[in-house]
Amino acid sequence: MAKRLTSNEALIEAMSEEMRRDERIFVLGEEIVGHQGIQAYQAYTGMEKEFPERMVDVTMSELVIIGSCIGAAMTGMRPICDILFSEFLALIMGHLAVDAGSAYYFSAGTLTVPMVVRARYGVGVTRGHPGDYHAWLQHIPGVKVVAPSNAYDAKGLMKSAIRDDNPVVYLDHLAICTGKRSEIPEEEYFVPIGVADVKRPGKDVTVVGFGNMVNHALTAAEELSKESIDVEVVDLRTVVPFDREAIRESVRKTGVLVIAQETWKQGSTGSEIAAFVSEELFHELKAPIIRLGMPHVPFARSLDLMKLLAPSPQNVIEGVRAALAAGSKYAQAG
Amino acid sequence: MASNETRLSLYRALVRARELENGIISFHPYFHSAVGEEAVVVGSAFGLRPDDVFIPHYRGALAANLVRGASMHRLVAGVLGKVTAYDRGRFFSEVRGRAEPKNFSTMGGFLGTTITYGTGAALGAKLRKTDEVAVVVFGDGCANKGEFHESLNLAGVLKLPAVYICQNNQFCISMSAERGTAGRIVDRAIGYGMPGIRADGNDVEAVNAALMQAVAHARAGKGPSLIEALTYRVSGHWTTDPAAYQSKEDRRPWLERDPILVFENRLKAEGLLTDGVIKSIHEQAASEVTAAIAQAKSDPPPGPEELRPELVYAVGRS
Repeated sequence: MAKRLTSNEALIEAMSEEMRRDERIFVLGEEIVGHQGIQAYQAYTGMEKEFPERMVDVTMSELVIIGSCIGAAMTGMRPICDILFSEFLALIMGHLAVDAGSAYYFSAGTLTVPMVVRARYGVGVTRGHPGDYHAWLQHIPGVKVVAPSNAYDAKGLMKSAIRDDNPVVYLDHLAICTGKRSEIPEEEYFVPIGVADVKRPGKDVTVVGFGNMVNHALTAAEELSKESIDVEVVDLRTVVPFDREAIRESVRKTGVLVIAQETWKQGSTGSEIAAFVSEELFHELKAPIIRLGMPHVPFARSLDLMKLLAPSPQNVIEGVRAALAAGSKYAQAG
Repeated sequence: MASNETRLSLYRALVRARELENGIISFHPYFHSAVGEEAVVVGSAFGLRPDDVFIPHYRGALAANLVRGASMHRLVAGVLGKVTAYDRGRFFSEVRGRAEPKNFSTMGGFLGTTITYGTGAALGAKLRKTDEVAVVVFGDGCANKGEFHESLNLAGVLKLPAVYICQNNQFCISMSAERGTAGRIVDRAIGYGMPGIRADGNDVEAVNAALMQAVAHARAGKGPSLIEALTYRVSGHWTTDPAAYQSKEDRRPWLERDPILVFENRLKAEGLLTDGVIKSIHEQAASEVTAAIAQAKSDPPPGPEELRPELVYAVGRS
């Protein structure tokens, strides 16, 4: 019988199932155990009781948090490394991207780094730590990045990430962790890494996003359907390496592409998507590609400013309308 | 005290290290040579079990890998960037040696990161409930990095089976320890609640005895140790560095205490070595190096197939 779980609850199921199966898996990070503590935003409730030796709760030392997980992974373990926030990717990027990301290649395949790095981001329940810094990993080869939009995908992606033999950064959106519940089936399932999902089919406009932007895009699509605008919402689920084929397929169908992301627009995953679609599908496009994202300004922390920075469902609606308007001008001129 | 046979093996390893270093120096203008520091390099790898994890410092990585059983030819091929190298020419072995789960080092250009990897290897050994030990060697410059302090703190808290060995050659590039390092590195062990051992870094037996003591401590589940092996960088930062920032007066006593001479003289005094045997050990090592270099030089270079993006990700799944 299916149950309805939050993303955090579904992730606890995913990690616990995998840890029962494989003794090499352990969790290391700050605030991951304790009954009175912050407990990493309730991401591990109950796990200390079942896996007392494999929940390694450590102090605030990001260099050795990431480094000890890399060292353990290279020598036969399969760590889940919790660095708390995406912002802290800045502190560990050398170990993670430069060293762990190249270990398999530089060893000609004799070393692997099977490791999940958990990091939270997003405009959500608190004003702290909203920044999404994964774009650096779009640039550097060797590390995968996943970012689910709902609890069902969260569980399936976590199980795939744990079983993957590469470093995988697992981004949890703060509004999704403890947000809407999903139906989680009793039977085991996986969401494959590198495979996007069409969350809503449509024929007029493609909106590509990940994380909470998918939910905003779905809200926007519902609203636009009242104007007979049929929006297709593509949920990337994996942002590095992203599913090029799914984007090609959707753009070939609609000819109009809007990319929505809750991070800086400049040098982003959205930039890379726009570039590859322009290179490969220029003649399929009926309108200029529109990227929705944050202006090139640090993440302001007033709640009012935060709401202005991150694209809203209304921004997605406006983006879709702008793309269609530009497309019709383009058609007339043509 | 180790058996005479073991001590002679240690001597042969020391000579082999020296001859390999000299062989690389003969053609490599930017080699970070460990000539003069071989007592630390060899003494910190010798006598470990094959299932212990060993992570060398970049200076001395080739020689330490020899002690751990790597092929001299493939190591030299890695220096020359040949496809016969352990890394197929993708990286450069003079700063890392061979990379596999029990022997690896840095993957990029960073130093100090490996201290955290050694800490993780020790954590893995502990979680698997084995008596394996992780040994990581690093320079005095690295001992001033956050990775050193965070690692020793965590290893101290979790009582990890780790041995941290500082190859203190008193220079971080051209920055002398006098100008760059506060206090004595060995004293930092006290701050992290672990044993600290200061060894003569030009005496391979002293370094190796310190290693064996720390390894026994770790195997017994008593936690980590810090060893500071004090030596001096008589070679430049790299082969063509004249090291003008070092004074002759400072260098002289260390040159006089060359680690090979120190050990050789002791073994001769004890009647375990004769000049004839010494000569043949050196000649044997030198001809092995000559052959390895000649073979590696004639090996083919890597081709463009080494640059395929699909080589970046492991395809396996547990």
